[in-house]
Amino acid sequence: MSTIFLLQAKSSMKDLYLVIWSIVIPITALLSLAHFFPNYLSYSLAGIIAVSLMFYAFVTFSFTALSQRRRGVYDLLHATPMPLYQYILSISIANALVAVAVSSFVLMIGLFISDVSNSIMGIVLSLPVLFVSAVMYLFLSFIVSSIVKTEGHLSMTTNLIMLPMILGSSAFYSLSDAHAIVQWLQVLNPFEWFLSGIRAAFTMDFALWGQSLLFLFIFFSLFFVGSIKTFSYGRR
Amino acid sequence: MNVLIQATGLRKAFRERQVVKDVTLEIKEGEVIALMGPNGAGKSTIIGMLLDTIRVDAGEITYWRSDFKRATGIQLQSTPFFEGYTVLENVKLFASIYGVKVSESEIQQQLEAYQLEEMKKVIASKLSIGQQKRLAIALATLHNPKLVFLDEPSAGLDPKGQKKIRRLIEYLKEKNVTVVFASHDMLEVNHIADRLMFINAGELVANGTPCELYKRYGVETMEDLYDKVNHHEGDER
Repeated sequence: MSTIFLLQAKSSMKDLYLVIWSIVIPITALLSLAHFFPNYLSYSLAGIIAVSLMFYAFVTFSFTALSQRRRGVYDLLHATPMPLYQYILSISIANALVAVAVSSFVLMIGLFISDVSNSIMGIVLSLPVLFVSAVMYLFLSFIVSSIVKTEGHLSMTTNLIMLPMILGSSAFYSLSDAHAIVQWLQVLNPFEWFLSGIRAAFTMDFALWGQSLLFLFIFFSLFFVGSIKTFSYGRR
Repeated sequence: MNVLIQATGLRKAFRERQVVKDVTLEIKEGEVIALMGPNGAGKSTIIGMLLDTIRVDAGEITYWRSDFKRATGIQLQSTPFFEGYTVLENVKLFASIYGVKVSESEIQQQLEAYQLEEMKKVIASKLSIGQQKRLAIALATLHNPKLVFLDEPSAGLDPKGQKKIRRLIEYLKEKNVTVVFASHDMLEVNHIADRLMFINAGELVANGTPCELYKRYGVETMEDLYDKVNHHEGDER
């Protein structure tokens, strides 16, 4: 398992999409906001970090998983003695650790150029939130890539999942005046718990941090079971 | 000879199309078996069923050991490799997947045996077709399996590449590895196979040693045997 993990981590670090989604785009966004809308940067920092991590862990990896399936890699894996859960865990944890390392780097740049109160403790507290969320999204990407047939279908499906998550969250605007249904739906939105976990880490709100991690862990468990139950070895 | 796999009455349909019909066969230890038949005959589906990667609709398969996947290797027709991994990384990955520890010198030996030692730092998907086929066989045999399935190992190769694959199958035969390979290459089959299984329209239409089948169908060459078995059985249906 450690070999698979190390090889996957090495391979992920060479991934161009990781560089674009998780480094270039968020840093460009942070610098642009710092220059043109410095007051808004403090509010949207958590949103930018969360979106960039989700894009990589969910969208990019969904395409990678679909591509592996279409080329027959999972068919080959099926003929080996490796248990499916072990493969999914190794690949997801390896990718998640790379995503967390990159997100932490971007987060530190964001904290440096914004006036968000920060401390070593805040950064340390944000690490488990980033990690659990990244693995959760990687599990979700296994589910989505198993149920679609083509790249076009996958693109549409990831958008249909991702956009409501972002638009129905407080990533870039406050939902305090939103309709009660919208506010209630946030409980079911893993992305909102991801955001509140990062914000709670910055503000050292341990109660909210713990609650966010708990909810994220529930989604993590559901998506893990879902990734195994829906996993398709061959082409659909 | 010990029986490694005993399959009885295998049936498989994809949607309405019956692709495997009542196939009964056995694979004995140390044999080199050629699965032959036209494209779409059901050879790959039968291999998938024997490997337990395709669920059977009906029939029964008995293996010589419950964890047979630990002692079985497979080279798929499409030779898939993990994206972005080099030859060396693929070898290390598959060793880990099969749960075997291989030293650097063992990896080197394996790559030399399959003439890939110069390619170890090359991304696997960028190798030539022949090299990809050899790498796929190298990965399938890394864990010293008792049984290896090769799905059209020489398809798409030039005569030189086909010759290399023939030598690799002979090499496996010398090591007493049981080999089941699907092939259209008559020379390959003629030189190496101990037993031939002809598949046509999902049925096992002929099964025996080359000598037995030559005698049964009154032919002298593999090409004639192939034509006769397929046409004869096709006519009968």
